[in-house]
Amino acid sequence: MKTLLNRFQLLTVALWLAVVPLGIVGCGFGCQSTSKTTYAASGVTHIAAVTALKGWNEYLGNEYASILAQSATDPDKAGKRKTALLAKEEQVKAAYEKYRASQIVVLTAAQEFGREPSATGQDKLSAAVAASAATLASLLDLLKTFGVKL
Amino acid sequence: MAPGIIIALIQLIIREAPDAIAAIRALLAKNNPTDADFEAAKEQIRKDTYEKVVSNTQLPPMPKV
Repeated sequence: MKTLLNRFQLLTVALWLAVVPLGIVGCGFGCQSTSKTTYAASGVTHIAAVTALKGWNEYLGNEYASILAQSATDPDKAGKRKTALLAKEEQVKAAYEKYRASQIVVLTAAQEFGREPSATGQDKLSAAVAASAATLASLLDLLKTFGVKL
Repeated sequence: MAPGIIIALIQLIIREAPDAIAAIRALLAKNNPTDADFEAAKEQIRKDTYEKVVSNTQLPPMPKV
């Protein structure tokens, strides 16, 4: 499925992809530097993810209010809209949980790599960062599909 | 190249979400994150649950285990 990433999505995914080369290149920049950059990038990415979710929260507020208003005149239609919206919420929640879990893996890998640099640790960190970038891109893409303006 | 990209992206984030400025500054000011810093970052992510961030959710609450 071809997706069009907007500026917000591009910046968050690119932020992660910018960290991956540091892991691949290795300790040339200093293993502490890799850990530090991953720590900072993780924090910034989490701010971005929470900001995106706040956009979803605003969207939900408007939609649920609209559904409530509609329930007075057309309860059947309002009920169907609510069911559909709850299903979307489940999807967003699942995507966000995947992203959160992946971030924990990244931070743990960065922490371990900083303590004891190794080629295996480096590969583990690179893989964790790439996986987390994918979960974040999925979350942002889902929100955009649902009509959230990011 | 990578640090330059990160700085440019952070500048973009700051423009998009001004409230994040203080938090981002704190992150970038951290010279050598300690184990405690990493644990605190993980704890923050654990605390930022869907229900906490999305106050307008109408999903039923998770049953407490």
